[in-house]
Amino acid sequence: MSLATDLIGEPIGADALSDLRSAVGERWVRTDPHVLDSYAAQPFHKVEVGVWIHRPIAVVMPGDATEVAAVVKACNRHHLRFKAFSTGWGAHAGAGFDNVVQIDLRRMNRILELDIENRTIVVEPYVTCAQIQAEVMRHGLNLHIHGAGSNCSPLANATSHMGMGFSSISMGYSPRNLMGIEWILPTGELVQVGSFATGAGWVSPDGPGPSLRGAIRGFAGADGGIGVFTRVGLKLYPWSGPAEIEVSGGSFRGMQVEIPPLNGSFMCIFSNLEDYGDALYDIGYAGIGYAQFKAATGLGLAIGEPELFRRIRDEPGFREQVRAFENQFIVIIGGHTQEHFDYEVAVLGDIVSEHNGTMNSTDGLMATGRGGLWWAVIRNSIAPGMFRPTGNFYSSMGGDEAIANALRQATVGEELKEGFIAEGSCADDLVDNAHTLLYENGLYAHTEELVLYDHRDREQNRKLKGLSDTVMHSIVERTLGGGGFSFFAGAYAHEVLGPHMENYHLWQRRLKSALDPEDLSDSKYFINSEGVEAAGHG
Amino acid sequence: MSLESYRCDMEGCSRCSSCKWIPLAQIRSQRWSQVCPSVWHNDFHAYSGSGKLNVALSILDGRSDFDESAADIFYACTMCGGCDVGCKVYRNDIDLTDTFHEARARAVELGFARLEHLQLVENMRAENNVFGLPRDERADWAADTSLLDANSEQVDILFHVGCRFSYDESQRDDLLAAVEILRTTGKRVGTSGTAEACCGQRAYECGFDSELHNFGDDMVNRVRTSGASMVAVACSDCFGAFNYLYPRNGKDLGVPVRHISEIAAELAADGSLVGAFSTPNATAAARPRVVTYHDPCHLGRRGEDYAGEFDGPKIDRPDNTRRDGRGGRYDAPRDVLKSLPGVTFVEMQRVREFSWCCGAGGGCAEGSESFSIAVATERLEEALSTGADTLATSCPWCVTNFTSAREQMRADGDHREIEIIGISELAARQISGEVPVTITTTATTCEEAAT
Amino acid sequence: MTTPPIPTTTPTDVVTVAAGVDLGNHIRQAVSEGYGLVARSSTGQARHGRGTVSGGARLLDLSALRRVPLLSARERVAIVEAGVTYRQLQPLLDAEGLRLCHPLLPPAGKSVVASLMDREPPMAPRHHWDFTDPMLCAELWFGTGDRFRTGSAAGPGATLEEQWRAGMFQKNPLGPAQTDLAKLAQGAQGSLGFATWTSVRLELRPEIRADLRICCEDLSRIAGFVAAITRRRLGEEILIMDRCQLTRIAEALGVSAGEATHRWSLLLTVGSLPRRPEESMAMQLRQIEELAAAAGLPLEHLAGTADQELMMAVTSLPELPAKIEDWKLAATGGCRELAFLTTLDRALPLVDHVRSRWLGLGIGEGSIGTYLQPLNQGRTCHVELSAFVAPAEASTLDDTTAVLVEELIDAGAFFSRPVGAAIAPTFARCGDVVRTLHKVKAVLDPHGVLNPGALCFDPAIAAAAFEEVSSS
Repeated sequence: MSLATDLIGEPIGADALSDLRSAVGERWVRTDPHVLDSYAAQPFHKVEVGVWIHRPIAVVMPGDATEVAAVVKACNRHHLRFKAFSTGWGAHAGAGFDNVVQIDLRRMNRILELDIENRTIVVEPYVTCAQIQAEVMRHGLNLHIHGAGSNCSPLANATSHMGMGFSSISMGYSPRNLMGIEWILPTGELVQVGSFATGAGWVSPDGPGPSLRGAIRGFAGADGGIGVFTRVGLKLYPWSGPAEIEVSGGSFRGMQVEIPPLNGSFMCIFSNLEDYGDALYDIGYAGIGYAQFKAATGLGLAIGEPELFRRIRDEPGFREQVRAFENQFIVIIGGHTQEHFDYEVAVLGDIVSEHNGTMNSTDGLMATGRGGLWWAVIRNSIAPGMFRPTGNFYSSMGGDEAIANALRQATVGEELKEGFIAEGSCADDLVDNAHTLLYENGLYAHTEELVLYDHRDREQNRKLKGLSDTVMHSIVERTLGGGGFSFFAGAYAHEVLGPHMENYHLWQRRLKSALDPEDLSDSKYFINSEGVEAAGHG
Repeated sequence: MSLESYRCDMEGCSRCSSCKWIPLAQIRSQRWSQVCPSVWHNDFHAYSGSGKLNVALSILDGRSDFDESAADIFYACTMCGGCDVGCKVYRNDIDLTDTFHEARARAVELGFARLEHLQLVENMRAENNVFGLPRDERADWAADTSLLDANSEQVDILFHVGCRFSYDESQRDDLLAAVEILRTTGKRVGTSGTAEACCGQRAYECGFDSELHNFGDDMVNRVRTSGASMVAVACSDCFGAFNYLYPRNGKDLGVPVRHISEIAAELAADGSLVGAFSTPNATAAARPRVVTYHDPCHLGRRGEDYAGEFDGPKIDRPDNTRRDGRGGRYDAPRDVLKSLPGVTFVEMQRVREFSWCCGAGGGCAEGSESFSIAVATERLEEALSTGADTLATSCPWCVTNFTSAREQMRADGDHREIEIIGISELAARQISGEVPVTITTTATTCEEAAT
Repeated sequence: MTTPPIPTTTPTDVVTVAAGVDLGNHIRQAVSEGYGLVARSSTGQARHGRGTVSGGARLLDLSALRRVPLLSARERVAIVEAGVTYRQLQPLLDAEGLRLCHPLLPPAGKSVVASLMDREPPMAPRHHWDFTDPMLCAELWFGTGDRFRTGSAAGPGATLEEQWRAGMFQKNPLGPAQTDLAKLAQGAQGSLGFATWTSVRLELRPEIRADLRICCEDLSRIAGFVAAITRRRLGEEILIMDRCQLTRIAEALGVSAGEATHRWSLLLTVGSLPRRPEESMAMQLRQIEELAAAAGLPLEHLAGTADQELMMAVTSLPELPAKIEDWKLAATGGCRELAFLTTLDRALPLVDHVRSRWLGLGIGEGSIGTYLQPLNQGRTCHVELSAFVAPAEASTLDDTTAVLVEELIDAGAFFSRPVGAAIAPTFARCGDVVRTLHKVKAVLDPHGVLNPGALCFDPAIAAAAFEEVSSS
């Protein structure tokens, strides 16, 4: 276990500091311990005990790609690791080792291009999903907002992290929404990936010839382990609502929103997992839905109605009744015309009915107030609420495959979590927190098994790594879709998973080694270069 | 309370950055999406709400010292509470601004208080006002108002004027208009005259807790002496102090505290506000204006009714015992503005509990002037973006800071016009046909008077 | 900079690969004996000369790999081996009520896997979520002789059967983990890995189909309309051709060319959705009609007209007349293409530029066909100009292609899949990419045995590109 005063390395050397200052200007380099520690407090998705990760040796704030490249080259000259982040939420965003220069991309916050006709936007790292959505809705457009929420950077997500979200059914998975990437290699060279490389604009992320997207990320991103991304083109999708949404009564709980014409939100409840799964398949075939997800019963209540949740949790009678609702999901319909909207609602109704389910509008559901849940999903302003019940949560599984496998993950997840709750590794959330959502007209599906815990409860915090490892091994032993969120546990996850997945870790390591021969792009959440001693895995 | 008592809050921060933005559901543009002036201006995470929690935890954990550098971070903040609102959209167990307050109190204990803040406190101790102007001139403004002397007469409403209004001649029209509004209630209205003293709020926000306690005790006594059934204020800082800080610190005024905008709104609702300012050329001559409204922090999110402390683990704290800003006074001033002849009311994007700060609070107007003006300028830009020609607000500190920012803009060659005005004065002007309540010549600000 | 060596020993023979599992041995043998390998999955004459033995290397013929190990209607997915052609697959899909979005009239011997690995443009933008589609996972063989299954096919689950039993159907195209080797191999023309199978996403075959056409002189109005319908994901196949292209297809397939009175024809099929098919057709058609009316475009319903035959031929996989393997080569036995990406609203100047250059070289008006294919749900447009010329004339074009490509790149064209003379000028513009690809090549093909000299791995092309980087 690390003490609060561990993970503090030696101060940066004068020459390196001078080089960094030359790269970005003196104002934009900080080395005072207070500022550094504000980059070292990252308790989210951290399997080690406590709040603190490694204190960076310096924090730099470049203003453009040229400055980023200069910083990276300076790090190479002085053999310093570096780690870039955009909105920077979670341990994977921060330093994984001593002697890391944290590159905070906050100053790179521009929307550079918006092509309405061709539904593409070009942004820098510190533009958030909420900002883009607000700007493009007035043009009848929207973007895919990933699960972490609209407070986060879509660039960071699409280039470097995961990518599922409520809108995945109609807008896919973040890396599949890229239209080009500006990439500073770990060695400091700037590479333009996609059509803009030859001056053709943001029409393709791939080519000429092979797509370097494949070296940048896979199902998961490298979380800062393969350089820095300074600009991306992103796809936009249609939006049939108004330019702005009037919100009153609160900004989450109690939020009152008039759901605009052509839009609706429906909760579909089934009596068993089989009907639930078959209905998901049918929704996929039908090609309907603007957004879809399973609103995990316990978690939904804990976020939206914490007092009620505690009562239900502690009352066996209530508890069983509420758990009877666990086979449910929410579908948001967004029509292009009234006829289209009516059609999709009717089809959803048909499907739910065929599978013996019930379907009700979520308008007014729970404390989110009238229309609040609909807007919370569209804006994806829900994610930070995950911390309300217990102060922290951890996500596991999430290897995306056929709906059949997603259901298998959910079933195994419940089984595992019963044990975790019993042994005190996580909070009792009525067990059901596997939230399934569909991708791209239901071709495949996502499930992640969330656990609620409080890292301030040191005993519980200490058990988190065991929980994480148990799930990781279950992925292999019970064939649960893929590595998913296991990489949050740190690079050692590859040694567990790789041998069961085509030895991918060897290829990943070779690519890392080829592109980052000195292993300077902080690889704690990626993989260390060949021949470089793994470190910092606590 | 102590800094240590907020350790759980500090450790609880997940770094989601909700403290940097207006609530996600409310964002309508990239341009007006930020809520925290401190990180907006200083960029590094340490200056955000989350970052200041991190810094405090670093100190408590012995990873860094509480030194000048740490104090700089805690003082580079207007204490506006915007971060708290963003955070409490999701969290019940973190109190950001209260933590910052304790950090400032620690800074004072350790001798890192800002010189300007020490001067402010010295002024208060010497002259009962933040400017250090003579205490016996505090009631000069009221010479012709024939308000009752609440020290010797029983009143229904004790009007606490506050330091800024008492001494700032440039805001005299707003003050006198407020008096007219109070008179229109038909109640006996009085002031404490030269016996009135600062509410203590500005010292408290700089980390000088004892000033609030001392001035609070005085205020409690004055209210009791007056026999008032209500304390009225026209200053939002005073409102926030009386309505929230006093009860939280055990100072029970025993009567409700009402801001002038609330009283005016009631008068507007029953049609009697017009009577306060009617003149022969009233209404018909009302100047057409496009007005937008700035929510002062201490009338809004920082001015909520104190709901007591939750006795249990904060993670289980119910919504109604936390300070999430939603209980601030937001509708009353808007109701007043919408009732005024000639006024077309438009909203900015950052309003109500997620309003952008004017920059004057937290000791910044005194100790970090350029930061304070930058924050106010940002708000003027937002106001201008609405097409408004008038920025109304309900706090003399906001008016002062906006006015300074506008002057700076002009000095920098930006001559876009927007009139900055207190809500009472605006009511008077619109209803009376632009005839000022009283004629002041050579208006002097208190800063000018103090130098 | 590590650039894999180009093997010098060059046996020029052809080996038929009987089973995918044999590929590793073939590669290891090539490594050990120091010769290069080229893989070919399709049969018949190649349009661009790729897949033939050039410069001496062993040709691995994968066309005998013809199994379809998985075809699931419930999961809308199939696994096809490298030698399976579109026309072989189609009847299997028909029987299940499924279809695979495919490119325009692939040659008879065109391998599905080869087409997908080359990112050939499918005709239905609605189902084109990303440029890798409809390919999902792949079984790849790298230059080390190692097999690697990409996406969720990597596992867990050591065999496909084990994965199927667990409800995994090789559907997730990403990864595994934090790299995506399929994306590196795709578009690499065999230089970064050979594919022995891929899984493909399938769509449900619509119960009802409508064939629509808009003829118009003004491409910009068509572009606006296409943007409007693709934004709503209306329509299945959506493609635009000029008169020459349509006429050449009609002639090759032996169907009526119809009344192509305007320069541009937008061909649009609409398919019913699986639920409430009639209602869904009416709903979609109403929107399309309204949007066409708003754009002032004449929308023709071709049902029952003579033109429907051509429409059906273009948008489906018709039986080709005997002896015609590739419609493009049917008339003259030769053809030269220029294909690049842009957006539909920016396509016309590029098209006109190519036409003007080719006309200047004496190519007849009636020999230059233009095909515009909206991709990526309408955000991108594949532009394909074809000069239907006799093989002897083709060399005239070849001599000028490099310059023309330069001009097109300057004007905003993106050669995402460059072939022939387009390769050098394209890579010369992105030395940063070339340098990075060489690092990748050193990992996936450290001995340089996979399609030596292809794309930017040609030493001369690489040298020019590196010069571009150092001078910028």
